[in-house]
Amino acid sequence: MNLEGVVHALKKIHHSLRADGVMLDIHPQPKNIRMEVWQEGRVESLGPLDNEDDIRDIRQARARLSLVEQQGLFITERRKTFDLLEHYPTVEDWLERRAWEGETSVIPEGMLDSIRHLLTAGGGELIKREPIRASLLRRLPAG
Amino acid sequence: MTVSIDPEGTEIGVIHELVDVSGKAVLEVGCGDGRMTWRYAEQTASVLALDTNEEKIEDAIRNTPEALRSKVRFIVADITDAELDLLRDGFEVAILSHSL
Repeated sequence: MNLEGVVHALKKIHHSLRADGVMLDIHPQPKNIRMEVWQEGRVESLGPLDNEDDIRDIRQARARLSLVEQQGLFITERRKTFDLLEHYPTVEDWLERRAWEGETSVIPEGMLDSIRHLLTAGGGELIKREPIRASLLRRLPAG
Repeated sequence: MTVSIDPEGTEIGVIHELVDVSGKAVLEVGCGDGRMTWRYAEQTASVLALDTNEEKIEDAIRNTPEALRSKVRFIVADITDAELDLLRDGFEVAILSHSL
């Protein structure tokens, strides 16, 4: 969603919620996505993807969320962070999913070869680890 | 072995920890292919799930479990464009799924 649309969307959601309604916002944290290979209890870290553009957008979206809180539309009640894990049997499965999701992060040079080498040599699975924040916000009557 | 998103159930665990969707009318924005929707929808009264990606909504509709078809509606829509009539029912819970 473009940043100008964020505030508009939040106002639309505020309008569509009942007076005692709540909004659960789940979105990535402004941190790097990390790739790993799991092999029989052993974790091989492949390092981060370059998702700096996404991180910038996430920070700006959070600022818009804070803005609607300041405007009195919502108030944050609870918050949790966690890592969302995606499991892939092959590099090709991961690349196919990336294309389907329209992911814009950049894969560092050499990472694909490293993953292929590890999976070919020792089996296992490829893991994408993405830090996520979930926030529960209560609708306020203002606005 | 197949592709698996959050097989640990971490995300749905956090959702249930933060919000009670039981018997509630839920609006989900950014539902994608319905992966997460199906995990919580059974307990709700109804779900209106929106996404701007037509292909993903087609997948979501096609793959919706039979038991959920009566309570989940997947629609191609942008929340900023969605007609107010569509949103006028008055939802008790809104879930923004990776959509901000």
